[in-house]
Amino acid sequence: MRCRECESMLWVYLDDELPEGERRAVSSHLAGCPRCAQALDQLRAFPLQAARLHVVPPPPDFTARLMQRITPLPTPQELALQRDRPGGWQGPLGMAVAFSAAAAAIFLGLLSTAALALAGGQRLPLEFGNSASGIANAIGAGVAVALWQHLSWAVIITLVGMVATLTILWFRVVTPRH
Amino acid sequence: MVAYGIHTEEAVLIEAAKTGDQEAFRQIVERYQGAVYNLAYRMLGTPEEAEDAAQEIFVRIYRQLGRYDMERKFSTWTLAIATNYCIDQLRRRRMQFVPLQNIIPWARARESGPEGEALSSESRDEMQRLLKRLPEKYRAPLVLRYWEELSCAEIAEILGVPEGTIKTQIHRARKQLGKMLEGAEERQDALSRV
Ligand SMILES: [Zn+2]
Repeated sequence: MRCRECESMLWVYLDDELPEGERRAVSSHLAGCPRCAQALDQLRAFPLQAARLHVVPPPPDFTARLMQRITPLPTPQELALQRDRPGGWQGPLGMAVAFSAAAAAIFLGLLSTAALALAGGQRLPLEFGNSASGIANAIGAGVAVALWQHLSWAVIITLVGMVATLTILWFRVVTPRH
Repeated sequence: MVAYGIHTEEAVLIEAAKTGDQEAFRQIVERYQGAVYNLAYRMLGTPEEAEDAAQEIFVRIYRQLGRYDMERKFSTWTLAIATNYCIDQLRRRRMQFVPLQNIIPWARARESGPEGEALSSESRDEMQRLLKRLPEKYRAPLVLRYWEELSCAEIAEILGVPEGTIKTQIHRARKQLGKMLEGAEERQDALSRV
């Protein structure tokens, strides 16, 4: 048995959950390998006995405060029916925000393509116009998905990507002419 | 498992709660508040955040109860909602500014003078300090495995990743915790010698 293999089984070994054959293989490797034996000691040093993993109780008024929030709500069955109906609140609102952001992104992409064409003083080749609006579309879709999921790093990265793409387009098409 | 009787009793409570029996829901909360609160505490780090999160998680459980599939194990379903909520909170937190003492360990250590000892039960809980220093992705598997005592298969189901991944993550987390603990004990030895 190799050290790597042995190491990956150590915690299962400690928890005594290895099948007999593997357990014996690990034992014999440990007997002859100080490095893995030390790794095992390190794992042992992290005690997961119940005594140390004491469970923290919630505050005594937890249930009472929760029930104050639950009381005014409709029954779970009614809530499930409401959710099945197209409607509700959070979903459509998120969608609307996402789609307007996407539309704005696509519009921006198309606008910049047009601006580039004008600034260049000539019509751009057809493939270029297509690929630029294709990129803008893809970016828009990315923003939509990201916004719909979470407002997170994904959104920021997408927006930065959008700006970068437009910058590159600008320098590649306009600058060479000056 | 052992508890067929408990299981059916729970099923009755769930059915009642679905149709709006709030007393039944209250009993479900009493059963699971410990597990949910503890999970949130271990995942998020402070009692205040844990309580807010646990409240929010139970509101979600109530809202989703109408769609709960009785074929699924209720405890796993509940902990899945709780875990996903906490992971979401951690993700959100990364977007915001975090108080200094949450990032720099010694900023907190500075405050705890002799009278600071009794400040919070949290500071006496060594494991909690270690957990906070662990990468976030390891927290959920570790807490679910050792505090909630779920099997690797159940954890894999909750987090939606292969069981092998869970085993690897737990292995790495334990290894890292072992190292931290050794470091902590060495420091303590050094202090007691002074
Ligand atoms: Zn070895």
